[in-house]
Amino acid sequence: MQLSRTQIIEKLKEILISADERNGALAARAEESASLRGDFGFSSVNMLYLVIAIEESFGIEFDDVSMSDFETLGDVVDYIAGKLG
Amino acid sequence: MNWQPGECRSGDMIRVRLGSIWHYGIFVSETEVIQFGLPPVPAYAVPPADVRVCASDIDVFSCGNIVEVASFSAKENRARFSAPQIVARARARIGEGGYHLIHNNCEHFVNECVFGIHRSEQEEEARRRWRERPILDVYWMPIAENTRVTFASRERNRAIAACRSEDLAAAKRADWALLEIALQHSLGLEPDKMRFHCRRSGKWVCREAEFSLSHTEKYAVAAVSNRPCGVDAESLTTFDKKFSAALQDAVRRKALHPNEPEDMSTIELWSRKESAYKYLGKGRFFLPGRLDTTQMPLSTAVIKPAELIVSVCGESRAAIRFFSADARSVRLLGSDELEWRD
Repeated sequence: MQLSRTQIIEKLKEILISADERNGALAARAEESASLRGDFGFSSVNMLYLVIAIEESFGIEFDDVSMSDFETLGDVVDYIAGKLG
Repeated sequence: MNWQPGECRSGDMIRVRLGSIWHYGIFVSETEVIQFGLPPVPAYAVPPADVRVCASDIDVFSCGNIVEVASFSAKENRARFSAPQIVARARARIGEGGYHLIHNNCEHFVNECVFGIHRSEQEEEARRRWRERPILDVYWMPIAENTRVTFASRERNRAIAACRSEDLAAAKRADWALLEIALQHSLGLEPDKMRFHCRRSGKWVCREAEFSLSHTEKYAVAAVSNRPCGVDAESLTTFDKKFSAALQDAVRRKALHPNEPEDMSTIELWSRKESAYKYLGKGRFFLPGRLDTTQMPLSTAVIKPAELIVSVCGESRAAIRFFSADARSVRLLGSDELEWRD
């Protein structure tokens, strides 16, 4: 799957909304600097669901990474871009 | 496999609920429960590299929560190791790392000890929930943006070519171009490989997805879903000039919308009825007076940049996403571009 960074961000926003509809208003206008825990309030539980949603949507598998590696939306985009690249 | 609170015996598979997820371990004694990572299950708190298979007493394992014990079916009992073997397998792995929240967690560990199988029902359940989640995505595009003239469905191409009005043909071409974008973007489908056909009711369908189309003079609107859906769009700028005066006549309004709220605007009532009619997908004739929408899964929103009122039938508002599209790109609609009416 070849995706530009902009396409990855858009797809990620869609996933954020699908993973938790309460993210709707925030996700649509979120910047790469948005904090997953601070802005979206992701706990370890919905983080698990989010990671699975990303795996299913982008066709990738997360390696041995810590959730604390992903502070912001941009960190997740970097990781996905690296896996797709 | 059944789980119930009960007395634990050596070699039992046990679990405790921590928030929304379960933490698993192998019970050996009150002072020895072998588990992959100490609770609370590490996600943010502990880097995965530091998570190890370890032993703790039952109080540390349970965090004060009720401990449940697994009981197995006859088939599972035949497949599992004996209690002494389970304890030996668990003890042999103390100190082992390689924890992964999804791919190698505490549930994988206990299943490996008991059955020799690498499996997590929590992971499977989360994947199932994601794959089966309701999808209802609504797309809009200016008709003028469309450059496509032919589509995957030859039958549809013929029907469009037979349109006497060029404006209507252009709107239908835009609808179908938008539908193909939506099917690809939301559902990962390849329209070129799909077969569409028209039912006797006039509703176009395909096997792989549910969809509904609408258009105004300027805009095409398409909804795609994995469940039945209906969509209708009306222009806020032209609807009143065309219909409102006639439909707002008190007697006629009561006949057309006998059960709907009296304070709802005519355009909203009308678009909700049309989307509900498409959702039901029955009959060639739209008889709004016989269609009670009050108990139907309906949502209405205004797409501000297009001055469109769009009603969507099929899912709760939480499952509905709006997208703006053109021939080159698709974009999730911002909350400042959308105004929900309910």
